[in-house]
Amino acid sequence: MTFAIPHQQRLSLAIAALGFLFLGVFLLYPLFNVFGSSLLDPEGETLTLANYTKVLGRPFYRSAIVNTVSIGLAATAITTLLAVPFAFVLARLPIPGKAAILAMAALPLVLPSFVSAYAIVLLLGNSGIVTQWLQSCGVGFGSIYGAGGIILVYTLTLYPYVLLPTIAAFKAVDVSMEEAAQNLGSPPGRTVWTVTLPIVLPAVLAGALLVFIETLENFGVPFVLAEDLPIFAVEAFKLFIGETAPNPASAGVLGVLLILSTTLVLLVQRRFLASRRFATNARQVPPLLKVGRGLQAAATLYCWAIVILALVPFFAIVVLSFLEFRGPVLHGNFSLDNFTGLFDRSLRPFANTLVFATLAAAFVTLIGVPIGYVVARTRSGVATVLDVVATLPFAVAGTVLAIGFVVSFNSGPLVLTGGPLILVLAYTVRKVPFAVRSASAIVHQIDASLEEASISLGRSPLQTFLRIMVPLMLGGILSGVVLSWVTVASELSATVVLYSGPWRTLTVLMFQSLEGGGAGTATAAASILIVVTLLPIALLYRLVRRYELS
Amino acid sequence: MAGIVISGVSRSFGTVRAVDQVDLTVEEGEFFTLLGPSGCGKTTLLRMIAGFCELDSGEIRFGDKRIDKLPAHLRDIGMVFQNYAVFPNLTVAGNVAYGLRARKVPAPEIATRVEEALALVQLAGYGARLPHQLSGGQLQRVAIARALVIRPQVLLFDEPLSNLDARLRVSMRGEIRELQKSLGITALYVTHDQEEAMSVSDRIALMNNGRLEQIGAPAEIYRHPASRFAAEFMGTTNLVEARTLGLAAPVWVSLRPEALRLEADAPAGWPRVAGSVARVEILGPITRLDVKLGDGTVLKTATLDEPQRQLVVGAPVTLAFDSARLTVLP
Amino acid sequence: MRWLVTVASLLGALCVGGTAQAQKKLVVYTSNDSTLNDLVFGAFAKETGITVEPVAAGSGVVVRRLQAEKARPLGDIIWGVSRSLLQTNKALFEPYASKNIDATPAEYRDPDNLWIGNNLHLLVILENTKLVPADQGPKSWADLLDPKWKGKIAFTDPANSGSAYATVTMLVDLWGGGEEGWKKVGALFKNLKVLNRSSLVFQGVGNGEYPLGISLEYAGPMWAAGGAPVKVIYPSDGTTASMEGVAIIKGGPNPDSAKAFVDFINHKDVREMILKATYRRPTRSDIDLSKLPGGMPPMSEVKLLKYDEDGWTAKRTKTLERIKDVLQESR
Repeated sequence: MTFAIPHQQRLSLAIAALGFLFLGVFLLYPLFNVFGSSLLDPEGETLTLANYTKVLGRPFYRSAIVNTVSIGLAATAITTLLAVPFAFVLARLPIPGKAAILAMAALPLVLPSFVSAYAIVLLLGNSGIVTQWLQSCGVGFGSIYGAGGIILVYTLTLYPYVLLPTIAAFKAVDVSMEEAAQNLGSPPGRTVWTVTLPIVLPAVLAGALLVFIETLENFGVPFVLAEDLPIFAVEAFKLFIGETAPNPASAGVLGVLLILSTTLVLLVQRRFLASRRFATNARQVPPLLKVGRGLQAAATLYCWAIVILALVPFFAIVVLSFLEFRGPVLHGNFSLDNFTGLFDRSLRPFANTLVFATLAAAFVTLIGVPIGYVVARTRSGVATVLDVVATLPFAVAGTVLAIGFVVSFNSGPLVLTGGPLILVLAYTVRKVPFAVRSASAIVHQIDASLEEASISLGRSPLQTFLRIMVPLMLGGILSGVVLSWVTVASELSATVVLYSGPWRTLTVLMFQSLEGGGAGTATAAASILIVVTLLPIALLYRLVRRYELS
Repeated sequence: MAGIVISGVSRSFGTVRAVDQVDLTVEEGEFFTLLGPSGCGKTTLLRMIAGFCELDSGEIRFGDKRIDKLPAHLRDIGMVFQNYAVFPNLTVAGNVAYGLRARKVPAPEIATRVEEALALVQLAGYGARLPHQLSGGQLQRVAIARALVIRPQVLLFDEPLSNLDARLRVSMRGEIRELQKSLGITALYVTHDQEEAMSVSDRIALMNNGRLEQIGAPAEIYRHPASRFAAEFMGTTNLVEARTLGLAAPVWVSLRPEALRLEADAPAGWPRVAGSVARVEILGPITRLDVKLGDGTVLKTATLDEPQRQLVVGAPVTLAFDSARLTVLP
Repeated sequence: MRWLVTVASLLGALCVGGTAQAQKKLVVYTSNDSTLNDLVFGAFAKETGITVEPVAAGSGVVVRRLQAEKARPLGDIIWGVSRSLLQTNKALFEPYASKNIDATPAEYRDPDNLWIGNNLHLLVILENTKLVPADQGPKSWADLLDPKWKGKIAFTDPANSGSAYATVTMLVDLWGGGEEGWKKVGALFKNLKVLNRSSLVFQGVGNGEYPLGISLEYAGPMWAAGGAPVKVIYPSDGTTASMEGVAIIKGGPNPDSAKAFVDFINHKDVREMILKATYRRPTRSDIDLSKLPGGMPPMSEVKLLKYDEDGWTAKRTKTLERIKDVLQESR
């Protein structure tokens, strides 16, 4: 054999090859079709960077970049600072109602951000219910519009991204490490700081990265709350499909810049992790710490406060759905009209949402988990490139990917437009990073010698992956499934471009109702979505709990 | 069952020659140890045999069968890891049965073989437990049972005792040695602990910087080190110029502490050197002494505890040495 | 491996799903809101037996999709998009002379019958009468320049709204045209809150987030009918009407249903039904507004400005850049 692939790398390379194939066809190819124009002159003939210098030369877009990055950094920092202690408390302290907190913590992701933003304006806007109540008590506060409001909403909706993987990581910490540190004379507080935190750092970083990228990409929240503060994703959206003058070349510039900055963040994170790779060999879930009553009460209060605050828009929507709307106008009387109005129509959107979310979550897991494994286990250029490519979907606004899909799969060898599969594939591509990140964070914590032991006992690498790694990663995989399912169920930006005919989803229904003066129907549909999403979340957490107890 | 033949094996990581042209034969049924400081290449060599690390050149055979191109899971090896690598999601019995299931052994046979293997490592009755309910020593026994039960051609040990406490280490190494001998399996053992290596091995290969320094029976390497490195790594020694000991040849020699005695305890014919006590360390049964000679050379020696004897730092003392036990180093 | 086959066949079914229906259908790309869509599609199905499969989104999205599907059109009708979008995408449409063209003034239809206008949006000022007493509100565009309105007027980013673009360019012309006009528009922008979507403007005025809003006529009666304190101000210095229309997509899958829809949508009864429910001012000149709800004045009572829509459409890219600069300078 002159060109032999070393047998211990074959599995990784096979996974990488399949991963590249999928991402190449359903991510890079559509993106290339969309962004190609940013590198061409107006006639579309010669390559040029003129579009870039032109966009970057405008103070408006430069301030958009500055605003977006500052808001993103602030939101990421605050989110992380809130979520890491939260995760520690849930993983290691005895506090009441843990299961409920866990289940509720994933809920903010259920609500599409445009619905949250609508609820927040009704509550905290210039004449919001809470604002007026506060003013009548003599308390005024700044406007919900602008950077502060956007950061607030991001923090309250995105913290589960950090919380969920970090809990899993805290539970996977080998308690003997902490014991060792305490034997060495380190007080418990210091032990957490110097031993436990560095071990969970990869998971925290992975979550923080998701938050940061999500803030770069999200346009639902700034669309409503930014007023005239220029925000990158909003401007890119307008340039792509703005009603008046779509400008694909300039939009492509913004899209490419967004992708480049994500790649940069990702590479920095990878480099940082490469020098700090901590494998622990946890044999058991670490025991709960014994703490004083005061601390326990404070921890309980802390967790419940965050969960409840994050769910305020949620409760607001549920309450609104039982109030009377005349056209778009809210009246304070109890009414079931919103629901009867909703059920008079076809129930097809509910079914679509359920089926799409389930299929997409399954695809995401099947594709993302093996990629996450390779990314965490292999130290080679291939793994780095795979990691970057598999995380790119986070940097790609749903609208942009969807346009790429339409352009790429409306004719030619692979025709997907008009059917439901194109939606499932778009969701899969968009959510693959969830599975990759959560799986790789867990793999970082599983000692490689477990795999070697299995292989030396006669199981092939593939069987070893299925029999040893998958069971050990199950907690992480399941939390990834929950995240994907929930966020697919609330996805709007790609759906609205790709759906057709009977394949309308619940979020599309909500969006259209809200836009069209049917706010009542929208709130009713949102309430239904909440209920529908609660079920699988509850079920999955039950499974996770049973798995962790056994 | 087979011996291991390693010929001309090399491997580099970047510019570092981790394993450099190693030739080695482990006999069938032999307990063979790779000994050396960390980074000497012993673990890389072991992982090459196990199939977790590629060879740049050379070949490895089990008996007549070349295995270095074989995927790791087809090599029929039992391996014991430093951190046990016991599967946390399986019971003790599940761990031990793991390799048998991979080999599609019928279920009833698996049950009896798992029982036997657990009995062999003194864990009979522990089958239903989960790994987190076991101590470190018990985990390593599970790992050993798991490696033995598949009746591998070769048993590999990668520093299996270094995570255990000192007392357990001593008793476990005796057990490992006994098990290996009673089963007659070829074993390759990696350690950086010289005493452990000497205690368990039929032969030892001493490695340094990716090369083999010396191969031989433990006593042979100890008594006749082929190099300064071998002399120093295998226990304590005094490396001195022959002239210091009153000998004419212009060479360096190694003189083990036990070949030196206080003048009063030594046979009459041994040559003498005079100096003063530089350090005294009373360890119970023995007392360690550093003696400073006239030219500043320090010799290490030890005596059995003797309550009447007064050894104080600075006191003049005369030592005698057994010139038959001097090793001249190249 | 049998499960693989099962999965594959399921996926196959998903891929082609939804094409097997026997009954007549029609795919409409619409940028109208869901209230209007539901109303019209329901009535259309009742009258013709044709089921409508709507694809509803903002007009930018709808048009991008239309363009992307040029090679294999999936839709039959595009409905509810502005005159300038219809004009710029003419090449994608199929000509059809609707039965109702005679009642529609010539200025609201294409000479080659590639598209036909359905309804008109007058550019107006909305006022929240709870925040601003009815008699203290502005009467004209010029009144909006008063510094007392600073930060109190909601407006839509012209980059994302055809009507907002029309408002700005109309005001440039009204206020002297050229540099003089732009200078006054710059002064107006100092008072504006520029929001991202037109629905945010009337939601904002209706819910009391902003006292004033520059918006489309229909939003006023719609919110007022729901009980919100919203009043429409027809500026005394004049305004203009932006038109929305319908067109048949060239090469669409259901051409006959498409023609039926174009006939249906401009029918007199249908226009009256739409006005009653959603306050869309029809292009047809033969409907008596005074007998219908909403209190909308007839066109003859509204002072209309001359507005060169095609001219401003032609120089849109440059103008939008200029607006971005004006916006940036006014912050």
